[in-house]
Amino acid sequence: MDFSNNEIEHVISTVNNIEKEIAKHMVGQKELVRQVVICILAGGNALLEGVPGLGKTRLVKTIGKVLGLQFSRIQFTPDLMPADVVGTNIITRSMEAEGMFRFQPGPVFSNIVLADEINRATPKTQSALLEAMQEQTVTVGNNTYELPQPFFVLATQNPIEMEGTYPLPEAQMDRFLFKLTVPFPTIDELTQIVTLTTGNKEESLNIVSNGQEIIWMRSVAREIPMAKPVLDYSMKIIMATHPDSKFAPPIAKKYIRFGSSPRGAQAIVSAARIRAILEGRYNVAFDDIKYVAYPALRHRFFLNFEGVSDGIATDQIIGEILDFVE
Amino acid sequence: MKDYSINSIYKSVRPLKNRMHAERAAKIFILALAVASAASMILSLVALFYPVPFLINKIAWIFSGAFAIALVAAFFSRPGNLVVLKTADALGLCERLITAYEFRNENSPIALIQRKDAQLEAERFNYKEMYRIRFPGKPALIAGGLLILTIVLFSIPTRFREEAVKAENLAREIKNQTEKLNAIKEELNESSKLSTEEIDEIKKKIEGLLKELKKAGSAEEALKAVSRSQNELVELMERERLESNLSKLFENIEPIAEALASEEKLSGSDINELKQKLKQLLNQIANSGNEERQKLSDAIAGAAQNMKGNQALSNILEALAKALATGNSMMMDQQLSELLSSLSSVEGSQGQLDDETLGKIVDALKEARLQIAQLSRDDTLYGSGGQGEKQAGNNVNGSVNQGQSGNQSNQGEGRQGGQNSGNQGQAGNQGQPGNQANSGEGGAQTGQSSGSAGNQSGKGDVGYTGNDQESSGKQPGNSQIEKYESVFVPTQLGGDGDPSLAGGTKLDSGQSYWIGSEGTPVPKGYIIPYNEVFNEYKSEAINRIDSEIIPPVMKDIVRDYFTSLE
Repeated sequence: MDFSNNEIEHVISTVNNIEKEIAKHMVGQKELVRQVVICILAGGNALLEGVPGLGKTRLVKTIGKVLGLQFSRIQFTPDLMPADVVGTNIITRSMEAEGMFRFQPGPVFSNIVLADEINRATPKTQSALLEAMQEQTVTVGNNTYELPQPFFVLATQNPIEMEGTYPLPEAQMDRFLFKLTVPFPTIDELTQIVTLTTGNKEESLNIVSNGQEIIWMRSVAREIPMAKPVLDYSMKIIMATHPDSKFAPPIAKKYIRFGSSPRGAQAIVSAARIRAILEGRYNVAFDDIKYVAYPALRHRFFLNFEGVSDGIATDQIIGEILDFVE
Repeated sequence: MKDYSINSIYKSVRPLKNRMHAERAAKIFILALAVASAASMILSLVALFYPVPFLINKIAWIFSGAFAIALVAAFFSRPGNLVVLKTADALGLCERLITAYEFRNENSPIALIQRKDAQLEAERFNYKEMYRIRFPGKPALIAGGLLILTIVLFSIPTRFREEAVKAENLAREIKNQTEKLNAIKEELNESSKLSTEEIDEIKKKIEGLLKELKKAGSAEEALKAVSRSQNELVELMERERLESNLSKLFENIEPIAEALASEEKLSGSDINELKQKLKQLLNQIANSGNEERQKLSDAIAGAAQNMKGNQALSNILEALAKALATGNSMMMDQQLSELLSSLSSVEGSQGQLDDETLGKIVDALKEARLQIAQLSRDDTLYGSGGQGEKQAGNNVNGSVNQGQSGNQSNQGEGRQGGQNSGNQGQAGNQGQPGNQANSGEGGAQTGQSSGSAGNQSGKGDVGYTGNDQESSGKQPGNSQIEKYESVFVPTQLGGDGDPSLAGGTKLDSGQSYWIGSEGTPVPKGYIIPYNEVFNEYKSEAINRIDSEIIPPVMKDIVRDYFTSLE
């Protein structure tokens, strides 16, 4: 594709505008917003993890509005069925012989799907999202339906209230490009949040982008060159998450049960490209890799019993891997 | 339009490259200093327990070498472009340069934009601020510490240091003498008085001496080499002198004979006869074997008979004939000298040596020997000297063991002492020059056999197998004729040729008679039992060692030797 400085600048300004608009409704959480935007531009799904009340749902709704995309929300509960997510065939009122059953699309047929408290649904229902997240299609009966583009799922889950939940299976976790941890706001941010949400003055949001632009920005990002040493570095990071690998640091050998899949490498590289653009560069740097390594990997490897019992955080292991790999 | 190629990026990062080069060079120099300091420290440490001559020179060489290597290494340590690009990226250019390098051959729009961005950032970058040249403090500290340690070790005085100083002086002296010998060697080429063969022979000897001097590890060895060469050259000079004297005799004989004829009314046939016989003498002197010598002797005896008018000349000629008959070159030379002197006094000319060059060489060797001997005069020679001295002292009845059954160093000293005294004997020309000259040299080992001490004709390695037989219990005096071996072994003195062998008869008294020899230069009839000459030899030796410059160790060996013979 034809490329010029303008394209990059346009991407940067668009992202800045998106972040500005989001900031109207989201106090603080700038890093989280930046990571969500990176995830969307990289064409991935994000899992937001945080205690209730931190604005996860609000963030996703705001993003949907700002991007001018069709937005739908699914509140995951234990009795939620797959058909409630993907849709189902229903009987129509018209008595046409062959058109008696008609496919009724579920909430997944949107550009942005908010899967709220995804870990509360049964694995069966959770699995209903697998095809949508990876293939961006839905199969009901014998028919496969394509989802609107761009499509991405922003799921949330509560890490502390584990009773009556169904932890996401590894296969589904792997479908998320990023797993983002929503931090607790600072006291100033908390003050602003309270002021903003308890009054009547809430600024209206402007739509600063659209689906086509997001798809275009994705293609621009794919053009960003990556030097071989940088690419090698990202591959070594993935290898280092495997306890049997020669690149693995001692902590990884000790606490990791399974390492990252190749999707982890794809996630790092594609996200690093977006990050490079947002930093105003035309190349991917080691810093980009390091930056995206945490959200891209923290849900892709699994700790062994020793790691869980020792209370080892995956971010801690990632940090050591980044320091260890040259 | 500005070119945004990889080469222009290289230019942009040149300041960084220079700074990296400077830092590397500093590291290399400090490292070289540390290594040189460590090596010098080790050398200084070794010098505390072992004599290391020219220590300061060696240390200087180590530092010079290290500096030279560091200089070359620093020159070639300029970092490559790729390394510089990576460094610049690590300093904050965020892999812009390495990406530009990787995609340097691509001309896609994004690659061009990326290169432009990389170059602009590289030009904007403040390398001076971002890349500070770090002085390698720790290695410098280590190098400094080692250097101080080296200086401290170097300044500790030990006896090995003193020995090293002596060895240095010896090496310097050997160098000086080598230069002189080389100069003499050059002069030899210009000498018209010597034949090509003679020059070649002298050159060969000088070269042999130079080689031995080069190999000499101690004053003792150098002295040995010089003395040996001096002996050889003296021998050569004497031969030259003999030939020269005979030549002069021939030159002078005609006018003198004429004069004699006019005075003594000799007939013309007498003169012609004398001339004829002397001509024969000159012609045959070069290839004189025993038989020929006898003929010459007869011829000269005949001439003496015809010189009845001049009794003195006749006597001299008779003595010459006798000397020629015995084959004693020293005696021949003496008689010829007297004859010449006698003739020259009539003629008014002096019998001087024609060959000044040869004499000069001998003088040079004497001086060299003197200088080298002075170096080892004050103290015991390091290394073998102490051992040799101790060995000699321990041998209460050790006349047999001196120089032979002792260790190598002791043996060397024994020979050395013998050589020195041998030279003195030669210089003295007393009595029987040949035997006297060699007695001292043989003295180092002649204690092996009381019966044959005086018979030794070699240059210090004389001996015979009867020694072992005696010590193994074989009774002397059984009048058994035995084959004695190795009376004279030229190879032990660096020469060549077959060893001389002698046969003899042992008597009950322990004395032995020499019967015949193969190749020995000592003629029959000049062998005298040692007890007849012992006192004379001893007093001569004692006088000489007191007056000559000889290392004290060697003096002791000579004294012990004579004491053991009493």
